[in-house]
Amino acid sequence: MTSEPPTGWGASAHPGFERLAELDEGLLDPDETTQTQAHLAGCAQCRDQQAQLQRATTLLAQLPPEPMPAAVAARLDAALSAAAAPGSTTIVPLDARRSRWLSKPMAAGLGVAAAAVAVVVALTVGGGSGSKHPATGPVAGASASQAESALQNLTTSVSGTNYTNGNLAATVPGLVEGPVGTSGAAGGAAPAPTAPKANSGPHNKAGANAPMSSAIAVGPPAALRPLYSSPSALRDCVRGVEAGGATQRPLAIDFATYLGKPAVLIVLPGLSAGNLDAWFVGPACNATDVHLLGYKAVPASS
Amino acid sequence: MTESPPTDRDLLTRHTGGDRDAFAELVQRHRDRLWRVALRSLGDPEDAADALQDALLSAYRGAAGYRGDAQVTTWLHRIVVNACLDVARRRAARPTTPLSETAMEQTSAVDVLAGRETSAMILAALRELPPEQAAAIVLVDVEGYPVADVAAILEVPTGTVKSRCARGRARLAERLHDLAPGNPLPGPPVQPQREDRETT
Repeated sequence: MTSEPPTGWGASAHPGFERLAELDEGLLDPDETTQTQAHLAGCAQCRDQQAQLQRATTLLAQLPPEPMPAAVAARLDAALSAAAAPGSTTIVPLDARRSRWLSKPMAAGLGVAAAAVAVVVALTVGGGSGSKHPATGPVAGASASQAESALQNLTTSVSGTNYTNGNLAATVPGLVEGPVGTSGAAGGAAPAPTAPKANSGPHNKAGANAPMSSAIAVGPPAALRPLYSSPSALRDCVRGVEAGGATQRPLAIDFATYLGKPAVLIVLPGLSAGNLDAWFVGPACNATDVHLLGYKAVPASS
Repeated sequence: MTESPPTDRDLLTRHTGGDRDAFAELVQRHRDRLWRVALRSLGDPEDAADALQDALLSAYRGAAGYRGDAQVTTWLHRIVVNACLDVARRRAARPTTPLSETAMEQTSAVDVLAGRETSAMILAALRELPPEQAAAIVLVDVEGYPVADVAAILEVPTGTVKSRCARGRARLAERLHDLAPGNPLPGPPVQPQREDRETT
């Protein structure tokens, strides 16, 4: 039953849960206190309600401890180290990180341990108090080998574009939509030490407003050469960007600059339909610290 | 030989001085209870993780603004609670059916049949509280912090903390009462809060 609010209540009216709680908390003035206590003395129903209040408080105090799930801890660590990274100017938006770290099954990025973590998250999420997130997805869905193959023979380009937040919408979709094979390939065991086709990529179509200097670029900025020339280093970097999320093949990887700094642009499928995720990472990008310079969600077609 | 571990304040000072590991160490110390506060206040792991990340990044960047007139833990809790309130308000603005109703129905179906009053029921009821009441209840009743500390965290008078707790407990008790065996009818929807009666 539900208590009626005590409108104009006298000594005989039931005080109701709220007034009883206020009584217990010492919030009633002396008159109200006396009145309510007198009512309680003669009303079993209200004493029952008072006991119910005690029961609620007891249940609250007895809630089981919930240690932070390892996946959440990893996510916070990553967010804080991204904030600590030198040159970091952009904080990763919550929505992007949320899905990469929490919602999706974990794959190769963190290995077997991560799969175990994902189980923990699934249990926490699915077993909670009617959470809106049932334990979804194949927890160990992407096998290590599948995950690996997604990152083999990564296709890259060297556009020389100086990306700014203002030109992303005009440039990034072109990287993805262009015909396959027109950009330089640095994947596989024998990456091209230089990129002869560096400027034939589809980015030039979309990035027509890129500075002219890009047209004469013959290789990536010197600082990016280690990533450019080592497929395994590049794979590690991509893993770092995708850490905790499902391993997926980047739609484009472009060696360029971002706000004037040497940067690798890694384009991933957007977390919301119709978007692309553009991640700019610096030369120090690796599997554990991506040296994040910036992140933007970009509409897939401009 | 042995050094006493740095205090929270030492770590914060080192952080603002450019020590890149100090803040992580500070977070490491307190994150389990900050997590519990966020999780219990919001009732949803993803929302809690969002709020906590938001809060810790904000604390990371705003550490220089720490005034030193409160405990570091009070300051951290304040930032986390405020982030939770932000998330809760955004959640309230989402044009969706309140999740908590479904949660409560599912919970009650299982638990009432079994004749149990469980932590799941109290958690579901907690989610239905106005965010300010939930925060006060979590800090006082769940975490067991003294009312004075909670008042410092929330930056409100102690009377306000008590008042929020009392009203929150009243609602929780009412919901548990409605769900108890023999009281099968769910209670009315949560009514708008009467902030005018708040003790200051």
